Amino acid sequence: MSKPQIFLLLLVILSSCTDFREKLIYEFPSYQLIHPLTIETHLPVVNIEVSQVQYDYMYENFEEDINIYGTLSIYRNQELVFEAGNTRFGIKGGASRFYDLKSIGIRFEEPQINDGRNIINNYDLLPFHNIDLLESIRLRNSGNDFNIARNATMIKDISYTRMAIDAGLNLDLMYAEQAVVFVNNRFLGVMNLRTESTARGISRKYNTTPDQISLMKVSPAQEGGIDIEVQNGRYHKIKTFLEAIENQNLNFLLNEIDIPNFIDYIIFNTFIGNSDWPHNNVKVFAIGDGLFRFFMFDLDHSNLLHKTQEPLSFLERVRKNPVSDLFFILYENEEFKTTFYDRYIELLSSGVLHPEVFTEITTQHYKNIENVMPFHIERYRQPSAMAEWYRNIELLNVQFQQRAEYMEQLMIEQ
Amino acid sequence: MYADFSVGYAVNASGFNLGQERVVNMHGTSLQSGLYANFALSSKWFFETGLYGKYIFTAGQVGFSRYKAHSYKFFVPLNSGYQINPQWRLMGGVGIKNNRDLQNFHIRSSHNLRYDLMIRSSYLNGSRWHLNAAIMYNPFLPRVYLVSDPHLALIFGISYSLFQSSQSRNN
Repeated sequence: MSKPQIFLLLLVILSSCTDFREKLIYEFPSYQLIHPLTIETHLPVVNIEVSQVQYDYMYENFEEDINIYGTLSIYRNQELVFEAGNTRFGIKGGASRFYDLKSIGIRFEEPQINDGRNIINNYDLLPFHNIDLLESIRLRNSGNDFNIARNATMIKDISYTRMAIDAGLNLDLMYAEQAVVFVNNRFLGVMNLRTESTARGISRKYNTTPDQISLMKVSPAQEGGIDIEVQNGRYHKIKTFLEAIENQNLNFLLNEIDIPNFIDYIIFNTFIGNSDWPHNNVKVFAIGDGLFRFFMFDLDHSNLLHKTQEPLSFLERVRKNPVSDLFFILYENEEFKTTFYDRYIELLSSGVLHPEVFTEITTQHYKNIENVMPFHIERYRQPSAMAEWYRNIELLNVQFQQRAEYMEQLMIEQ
Repeated sequence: MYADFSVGYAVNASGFNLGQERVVNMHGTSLQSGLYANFALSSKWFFETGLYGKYIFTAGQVGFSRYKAHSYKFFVPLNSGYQINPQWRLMGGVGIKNNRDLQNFHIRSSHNLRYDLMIRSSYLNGSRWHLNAAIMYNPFLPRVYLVSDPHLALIFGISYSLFQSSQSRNN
C-alpha cells in the first residue's frame, strides 16, 4: 500500500465520530440562571457554601487532597431539610477526579441523624444495614460513567447497586440517592449523594465504631502487580488473612470468611462483567473478631467488555490478586463449589437478575433526572445531547441484556 | 481502480424506543467517497473491495430532543460481482463500517463494527464513467445503534475508472 493510501486509511479511521446537536421541545433556562430554591425537581437539591476562592483552588489542584470547610444544605421540594456547618469538603476519586465534574467527599463535624431520611433517602436497605447515623457522605460524579467515551448515563453505578439491593444479596455496598448539586448557589451537576466505604461509613452501617473495623483495599500497582493498603484496624488480622491466601490455607480461610457474602460478591461482580475488578476496587473488612466480608463498589465499568466470558475465566483474566486467588482456593472444596453453583442458579432462576428488572431500575433512575439533565448537558457536554443520553441509557440496557442472556445460557449448559 | 462518489437516503423501516422514549420522524442522508478496485476471478466473475469515507446526517425526535446527528465513518465493501454484459454489472456482499465511534472502540467490546448486507448494480456509460445504485440493509444490530445510522439505505452515485484496461484502450 502506498503512502498516500495509508494516510487516507488512517485519516478515515481516526476521524470516525458522531456529533449530536439538538433543540429541546421544552424551554429550559441556562444552567447559569437556576438556583437551589427555584429549580423544579423532586430530587434533593444540595448546596455547598464555601469560600469560592478556596473551592476554586481545591478544584484546580484536585490531586493534592486539599480540604476546605463550609456549610452543607439539602433542600427537598424547595424546603430546607438539613443543614450542617463546619463541614469538611475534599475532592475524591481515582481516575474520575480528572473529569470536569469531580466527586466531593463530605465529612461532618459530628455524626448526623438520618433516621428521617432527610440527608440520604434510599428507600430499601438490606436488612443488616443501617443509615440512621451518617458521619461522612459523598457526592459522586458517577465515576467513569461521566466520561463520554464510556457512553455516559450518570445512572450506571447506582442502577447496578440498586439491582443488588433489590435482589436481597448478601453484600456490603453504598446507598445512594440522585441529587442536583450547587456550589454557592451555582449549578454544579447531577450527582449521586451516597454513603461511604470508609471505616467510618462501614461502622455506621453496622452500628459500631470505626476502631472496630479492620479494612484493606486492593488496587493495581503502577509498576504491575497489586497494592494492598491496610486502611484501618488490626494490621495483624489482615496480614494473617493475606498469608492464608498466599499459603492456600483452605481450612483457615473457610473459618475466617463470610462465605455466603463472598459467594454473592463473586456472583454479582461476574454476572455484571465488572471489568475494573477484582484487581481493583476491592475492599475487605471485618468487624472486631468477626468474619471477613467483601465490600462491592464502583460498578461503572460493568458490561462494557468481556460480555461472553464465563465467571471462572473472568476471574483469571487479570493480574494476580487476592480475590481470584481466594476464590480458586475455595473452589477446590467440593462443598463450596456446590454452594456456589447452587446459589448462581437460584439467583438466575428467581428472576431477580432478569433484564426486565434491570430495565425497570434504569427507567426509574433516568426518569428521576430527565428534567435536570438539560442543565448538566449544557454545562459539561458529556453526553453531548439529550438524544445521545437516551441512546446511552438504552445501550446500558442492551449491554446488560447481552450479558444476562449469555450467563443464563451458560448456567443451563453447565 | 475506480474513484467513487455517492449520495444516499437512509431510514429505519419501523420505529423503536430508547429507554421509554419513542424515536420518531427519523430519516437520514449520506455522502460517501472513496476508491475501489475489481479483481477478476473468471471471465464473468470478479471480487470488489475498496475504502470509503462516509458522512451520515440523521434527524429525528426522541424524548425532549429534536436532534441532528453527524456521523463520520469508514466503510469497506466486500462484494462478489457478475458481469452481465459489457455495460451492466451486479454485485452482492457486505459493507463493513465502524459502528462505534473511535473513542468507544475496544477490542473486547461487542458491535465495534457493523456489517450491512449490500446489493449494488453498475452501468458503464462511455468508456470510464459508471452509474451506480445500491441498497444496504442491516438486520443484525440492536436498534440502539440505529439512531445515527439507520438500517436501510438507498445509494446512488458515479464512479470513474482511473486506469483504463488495455482491452478498453485497444477498442
